[in-house]
Amino acid sequence: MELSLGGRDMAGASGKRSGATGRSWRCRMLGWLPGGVMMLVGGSIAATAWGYDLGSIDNMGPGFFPFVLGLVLVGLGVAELFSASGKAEVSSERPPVNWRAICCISSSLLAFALLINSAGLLPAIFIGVYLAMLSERPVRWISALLYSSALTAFGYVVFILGLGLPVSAVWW
Amino acid sequence: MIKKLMRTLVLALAALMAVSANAEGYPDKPVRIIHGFGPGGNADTVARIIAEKLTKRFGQPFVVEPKPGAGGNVASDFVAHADPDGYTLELMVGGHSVSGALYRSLKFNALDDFTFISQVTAFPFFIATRAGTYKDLQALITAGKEGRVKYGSAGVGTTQNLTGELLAMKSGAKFKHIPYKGDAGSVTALLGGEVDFIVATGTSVLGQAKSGQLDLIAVSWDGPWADTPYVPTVHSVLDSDYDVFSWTGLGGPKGLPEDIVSDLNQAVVEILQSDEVKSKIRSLGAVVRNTTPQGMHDMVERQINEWNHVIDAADIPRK
Amino acid sequence: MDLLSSLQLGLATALAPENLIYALIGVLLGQIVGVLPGVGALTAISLLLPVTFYLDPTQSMIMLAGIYYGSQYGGSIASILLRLPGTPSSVVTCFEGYPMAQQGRPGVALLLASVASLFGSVVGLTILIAGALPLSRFALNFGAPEYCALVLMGMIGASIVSNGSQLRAIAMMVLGILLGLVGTDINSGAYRFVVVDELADGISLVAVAMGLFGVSEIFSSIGTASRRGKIPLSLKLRDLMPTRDEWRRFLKPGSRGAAIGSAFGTLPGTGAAIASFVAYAMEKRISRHPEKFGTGQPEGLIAPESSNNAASITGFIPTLTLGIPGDAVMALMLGALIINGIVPGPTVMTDHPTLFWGVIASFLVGNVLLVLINLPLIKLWVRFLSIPYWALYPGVLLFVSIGVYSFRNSVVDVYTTLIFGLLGTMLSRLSFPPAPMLLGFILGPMLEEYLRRSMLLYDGDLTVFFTRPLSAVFMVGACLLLFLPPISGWIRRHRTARQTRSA
Repeated sequence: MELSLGGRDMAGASGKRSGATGRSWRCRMLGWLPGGVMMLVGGSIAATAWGYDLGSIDNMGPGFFPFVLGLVLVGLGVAELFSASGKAEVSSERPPVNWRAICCISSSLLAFALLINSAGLLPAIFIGVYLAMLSERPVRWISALLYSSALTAFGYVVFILGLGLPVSAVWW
Repeated sequence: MIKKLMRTLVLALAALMAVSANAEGYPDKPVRIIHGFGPGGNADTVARIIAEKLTKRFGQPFVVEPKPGAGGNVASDFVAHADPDGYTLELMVGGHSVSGALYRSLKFNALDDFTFISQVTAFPFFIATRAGTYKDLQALITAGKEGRVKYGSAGVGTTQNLTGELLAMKSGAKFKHIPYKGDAGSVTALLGGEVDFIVATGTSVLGQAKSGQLDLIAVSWDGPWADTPYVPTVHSVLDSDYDVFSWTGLGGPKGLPEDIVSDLNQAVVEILQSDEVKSKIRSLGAVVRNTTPQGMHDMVERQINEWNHVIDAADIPRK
Repeated sequence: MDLLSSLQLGLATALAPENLIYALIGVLLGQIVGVLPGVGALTAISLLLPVTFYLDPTQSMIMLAGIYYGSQYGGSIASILLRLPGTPSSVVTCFEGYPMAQQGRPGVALLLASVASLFGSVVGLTILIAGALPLSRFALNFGAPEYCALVLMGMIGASIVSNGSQLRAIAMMVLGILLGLVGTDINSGAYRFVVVDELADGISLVAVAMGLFGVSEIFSSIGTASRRGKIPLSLKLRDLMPTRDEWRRFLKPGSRGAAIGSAFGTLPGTGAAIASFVAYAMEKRISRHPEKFGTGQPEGLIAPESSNNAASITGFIPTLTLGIPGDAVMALMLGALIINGIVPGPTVMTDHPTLFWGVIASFLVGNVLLVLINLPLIKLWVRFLSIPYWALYPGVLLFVSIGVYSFRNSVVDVYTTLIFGLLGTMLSRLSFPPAPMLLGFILGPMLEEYLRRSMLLYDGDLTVFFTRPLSAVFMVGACLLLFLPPISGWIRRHRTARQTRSA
């Protein structure tokens, strides 16, 4: 198995391709992204770990291992930078990013997390499921409501009655 | 679902039992016994044994609620800030005294923020070595004074660790501490020869000792352990005092009403007299031990002071 | 008592009606619990622990053990059908099982997984019976350096499971290790990278796995209804069975997986999860078509499934023979034994033969029960996939959220799932493979623990990894795994270049 040195074209998602005319400015910038991010992450980890007690090699402190790993990540980032400046590939088979789904599902999970302790399990399920269902286009407002109610009831039966989860069903 | 069934069973049982007289109708609703460890562990098991009996006695359900995290401090924090109405109690463990000494950043005071009701169990630690490696504790101490002796414990800042450090402090020997994850880790290490001795609870080593793979060369509290009368106490070998044990006990937030405390204390005393409870506790590697509320408070205070000395002397980092 | 009569005693005990019932309850509960994300064997066993007070020890152990390996199989079901690893050891099952299901052959995947699990269990059981004591004695030779080298070798070997840039795979693994270090440092009690209080006990593995694989999959699957509804899901028996070719390819990966699983299971502290990763990596390495992995290769499904069952069975070896629990679940079962007055250790075989051999025989019985129960259920599971996606994914999200939340009663874990879901989508778009990250997450803290302890024991002498024989073997293995592929690739290119030049 060979060490493949090519990186995918970062701009694939936004649709800009590297044509015969050479790479666009945006392509080139985004090409440095993976390596750059790796270096950034590695660097901040190492910096944070430096603040913990490093100890010595025969008595490692909490900071030793993370520090070393942070440096390794920085090194890998450098290596990635050099390899990413190689050929760029065209990745055309990827389906476009479904932003709507991402937004809806994210808000669904967020709502669930926010509501479960303050409002109770049932409101959390209801709102969460409803928000999640909004990611399907075309939006079916009514059937989403019905299904959310159904799942809420189902959740009540399985998790509160059945498994006895230590969480309140509603806030009152 | 099984948990629900169990709860229903317990409730039904309570309903069938006659309610014995108690102060001002306490308790008149379910009582929670919180503990800081996982289900199936030592604390959990003791709590359940006690809870079952208390439920029978008072006619109200005493329900065990694990709240694990941060070595038991999450539970203690919760109980310290709970209402002192007698409906939130804590099954405390020996680690409570350790936390009082080891943690600087607690949001509660291990001594002042609690009402101590009664101790429930006590258990010692054992010094164990691989079979045949050391004749006795004195030989181990001598070796420690000269050369490199390594010992394993259940982790940094555990009672096992502190027990080992206290031994080093009082005997003048130098032991290098190797932390493991729990007694299971240290026992494995000892069997494999990675360390020279370990400090561990009875349940972890009694099996191996019985089969002859490990030698128990000392017991940490001030008296023999019934199942192994031939194992000497550490105190008998040292010049100074040495009485280390871990424990479980019943407590609650500070300010619990006196009559509730004495009712519960009396209940615990009676419960611990039953043979059934005694033998269950024995199988956990402990003995029953009840005290007065003041007695428990004093014991915890004494332990916190002792651990503070050990932590300072051994340079164990405080959290 | 010789082996044969012990086994007879064991089988008689295991097949006795009252014990059989408990085996059945155990595997059923275990399977249900394994399918539910976030609820695992640990939860189920702890819920049932009080009940075991009222049962006799043999029955309790049979039931609890049934839950344990039942949950392995349940986790596989969710992995295959939904790409939701129900247990950490079924993460690897996603890699080949899910694509296979997506290609319209979920029944085949489920059946192969089933049979592979049974196969692994049988092998593990045989090893348990034949060599429990000597094996556990041998395992005692493994000190901190050996474990460290073994974990390192496992990590390097298994990080090469992804197609594409090895550089990025290793980077992901390093990131995973760092994420695994978040929380309280065991040795010093210091907080590391703890940005919110709940993280003091670490980032939840369940949340990470669910997010990285399950949620990110939902992100990309919504709207692409054409991918789902149109998969022809035939319920004809012929289409639910693997092809003859696939059966022919069963034995070798199954055996390799079982061997790997048994090895890891015997070592206390390593587990089924690692075993499954290493088994998968091995299959990919020695396959003639490694590029096909990830598209539904049976070998990649059979080996890990066989290995994680073998590991869960042999995982009982240290528990039963030395009284040393291999992981948290074993610790619970140990507790159950102790409550009932049984002190596990080398004497347990002779002191309590009925219990010991009965439990061992029940492993076999339980696993057979699992296969028998699931064979007819496969059709049900396949039909499950025909539920229109718009109804499926909210339900999945519901279970994931509640499962992840209830694990530690923490909303932070739900946020974690979301974050890793987003991360997983982003990473796979940028060709950063998520699997090594999960591997690093699981193995990283272990690596650190053993490394630190080795250095503590040997005064910072790094050569100890090469001077101790066992550890040296693993280190050499790790080096080979790391450097052999690129070197051989380079040699090959060199040779081709020379041939073309001389031509």
